[in-house]
Amino acid sequence: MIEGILTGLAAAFTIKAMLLVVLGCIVGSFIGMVPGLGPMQVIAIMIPVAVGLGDPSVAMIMLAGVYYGAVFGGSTSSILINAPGVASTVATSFDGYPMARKGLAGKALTIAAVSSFAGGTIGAILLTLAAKPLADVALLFQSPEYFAVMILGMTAVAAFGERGRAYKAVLMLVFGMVLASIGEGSQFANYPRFTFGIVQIQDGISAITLIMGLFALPEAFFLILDKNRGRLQGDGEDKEIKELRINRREAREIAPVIGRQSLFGFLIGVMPGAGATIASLMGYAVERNLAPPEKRSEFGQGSVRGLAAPESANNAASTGSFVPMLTLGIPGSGTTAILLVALISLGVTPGPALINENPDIFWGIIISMYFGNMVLLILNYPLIPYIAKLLTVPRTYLIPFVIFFSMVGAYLTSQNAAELYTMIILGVVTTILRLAKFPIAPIVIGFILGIPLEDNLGRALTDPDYRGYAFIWQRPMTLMFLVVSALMLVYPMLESQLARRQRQRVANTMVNQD
Amino acid sequence: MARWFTVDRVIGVVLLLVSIFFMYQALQLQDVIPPIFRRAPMRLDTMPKIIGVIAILASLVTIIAPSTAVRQSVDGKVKEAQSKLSDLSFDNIGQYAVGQLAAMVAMMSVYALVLRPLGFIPSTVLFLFFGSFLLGERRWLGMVLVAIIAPTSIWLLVTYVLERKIPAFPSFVGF
Repeated sequence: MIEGILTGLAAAFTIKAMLLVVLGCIVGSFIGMVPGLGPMQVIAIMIPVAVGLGDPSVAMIMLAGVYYGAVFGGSTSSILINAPGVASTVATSFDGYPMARKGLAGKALTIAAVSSFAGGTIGAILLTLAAKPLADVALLFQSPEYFAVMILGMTAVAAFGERGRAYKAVLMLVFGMVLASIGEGSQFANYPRFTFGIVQIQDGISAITLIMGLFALPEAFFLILDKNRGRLQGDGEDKEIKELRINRREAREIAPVIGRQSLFGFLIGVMPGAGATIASLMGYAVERNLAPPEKRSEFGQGSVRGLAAPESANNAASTGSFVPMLTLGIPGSGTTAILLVALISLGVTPGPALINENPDIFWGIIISMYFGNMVLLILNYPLIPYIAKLLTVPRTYLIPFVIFFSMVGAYLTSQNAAELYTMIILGVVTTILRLAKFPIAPIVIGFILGIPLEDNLGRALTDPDYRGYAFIWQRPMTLMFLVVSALMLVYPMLESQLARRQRQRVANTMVNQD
Repeated sequence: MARWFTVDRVIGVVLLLVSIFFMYQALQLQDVIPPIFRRAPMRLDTMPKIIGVIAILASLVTIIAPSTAVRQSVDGKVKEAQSKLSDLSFDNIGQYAVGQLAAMVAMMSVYALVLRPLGFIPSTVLFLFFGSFLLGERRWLGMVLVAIIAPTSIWLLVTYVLERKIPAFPSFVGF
């Protein structure tokens, strides 16, 4: 581990890498502040730049900086204008915005910055400690385990989807796998599948094109569709930012909250499918229940605890979601899926071998987390008063620019105008799917895992030690993963059925009430 | 009867058709397998067939599933949060600028078409200018300045920092 940390330090503490982390944090927090543009959109837009840098460790370190910056930027817009750009900062606005309305915007931003810093740093420490042992365990995995773990990752994503709508997530996952099977991808298919003779898609759909079409374009389209999206949702009055300091009493009040929620947040983040959003909402609910009664009533009215809890939890969870990504190469969230796309585009194969084959990337990302968190704290603290002004980019410029960046990004990495049409089609289809409330992140996860899943299944099936599908019950770990996935998939469906029946019973007793 | 055709179901039907088409194509794949691989446990059509079956099943479930959303209000706050994120939905499609979006998509297609023949800078200048015009911007000076400065600086950045070659102008200009 010490050796690894030193490798990471060597990778992250070059002038170039440090400058790029700073740049990444700045770009991330500025774009992340724009309502509607969250970490996924920002990273998607920045991937072509990262790929252009060429050096995978430097590129990933920069993207990690972009990620932390975007998470922080989202909190800022939640607090100042009550417009959380992404779900993971929704809980931040519960108490952050009321504080801002009371004239405590500066204090709220400070608490958010400190809690994010603490959550991110505690998460990074836990990740540092856990990374090596977990990667060692992962090295024991063979194709059957990989196959099973990927199934587990996919079902977890489905299970954590909207309640009672797991089948929608499954459908989207499979849709992603359908897209992945286009072209020559799998080692078991040395023939271009489903290309219908179109040469341009012989290598399959480029992952960068896909994420631009899935995340960046639909957001721009939504901004066009709804003129009020991303507008100031608050009362419009200029919130003056003064008094950034928090006093000793407040510090003592939030310290235990930050400690608890950093730990819980990290653990939630490690689980595939449950990311920063669930961590922040749970953190908020837990702290409200734990608070003494006289403090509990402050929740929702501008409680410092209610602000510190989701902020530390979502940052710790964001860090936690790197665990399955770095050790197994399996994305647990949309954001880490996009980071995996970046890694693959840079020519690096994610998976448990990463720690040994590319220790500079593995540890560089981890070390850059400490650095990135520090940069954010130092950077944003003095800049906070000016940040608010930047939140008002006119949409007439913002939208064409988002579209332009996505299109040029996809064009730059492929040099192929056909990719642009693929991207536009994907953008329109995704917009329709989002309007119909279909979850989008499972598509990327299915897309990324589709081919590895096929390869590992193929290797397991052709392994002479097992006959066909016998590996499923001959290897206990494989069986365990598969059983857990099956339970995760079935349980929410059963639960929603039960809930429905119960509601029907209630409804029957209340006929003609409305 | 009209209530039966919810958006979910329409999409379910469309995706079912896509899945059936995919499955049909997957079944055709066996013709390209060389005879020696015909009996291999993993063939190039194994996974597509599995995916096809799951895709068909999942689309069917989407069609059959109850149309009313099973949404328990876990917590008033969470519900408020969801409305705050204000994800758009088909329910209020009438209030959205659908025409504007269609125009933008058309403009993007034209941009993709002319990007290479016209060169990066002229095509982007036009795209950014008309893009903001379409969205209702009428401060001409700002529009022109932004539309010219942004692509030029990005072209310089891409060419000299990222060291990628993209033709800036039409080929007859020689840049």
